[in-house]
Amino acid sequence: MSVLPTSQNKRRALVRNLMIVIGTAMLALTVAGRTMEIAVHWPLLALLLIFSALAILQFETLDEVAKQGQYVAWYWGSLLGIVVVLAIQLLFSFTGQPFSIVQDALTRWFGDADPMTSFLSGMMLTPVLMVVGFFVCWGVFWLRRR
Amino acid sequence: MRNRLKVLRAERNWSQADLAEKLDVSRQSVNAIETGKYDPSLPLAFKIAAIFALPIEQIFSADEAAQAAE
Repeated sequence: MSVLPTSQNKRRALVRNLMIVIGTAMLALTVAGRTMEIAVHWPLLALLLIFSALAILQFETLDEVAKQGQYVAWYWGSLLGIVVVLAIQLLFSFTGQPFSIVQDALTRWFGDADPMTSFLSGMMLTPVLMVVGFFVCWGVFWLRRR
Repeated sequence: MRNRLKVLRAERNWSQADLAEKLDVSRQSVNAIETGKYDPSLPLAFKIAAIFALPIEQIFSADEAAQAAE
């Protein structure tokens, strides 16, 4: 017997609320790890696994319009994020004004970082911009269907 | 695709939320279908037809542009 409500709408709300709670806990742990310098890696990893499982469950509870919104937003949003990443990389291939303004700002920001931090920051930039693109396109999808 | 969802819903005094509950979809989805901004899949169209106890063609019809192309 499933512990989830039988109504798809109630299941969707339950899973969404659980994801908000877990997501908030992950954010709080990350901030706590940074500010109080406590080891949060294992609890964070455990929460990430639970969050991932809930994400799969959440997709199953979406109705077909919401699923279409996810497909559209992931496709166009991810593409938008990747294009922005490529544009940033392209900016670094140009020299002189005005391109040096962006380059100088980023150099100031990451200038004294060790290679591993720079590498990890670079790795994080792509998915972060893809997720930003996702939310932009997801918002547009629903605004157009209001 | 055109549809008569709004009229049929009004005849039964159902809100979008009521219909969404019967269809097990979100109210936003009902609105998107009703305003013609999303065409439902065949299974959902059959479910809508069953709820209104009407044949699909009495609820959904091709719009003028599609009909003209036929």
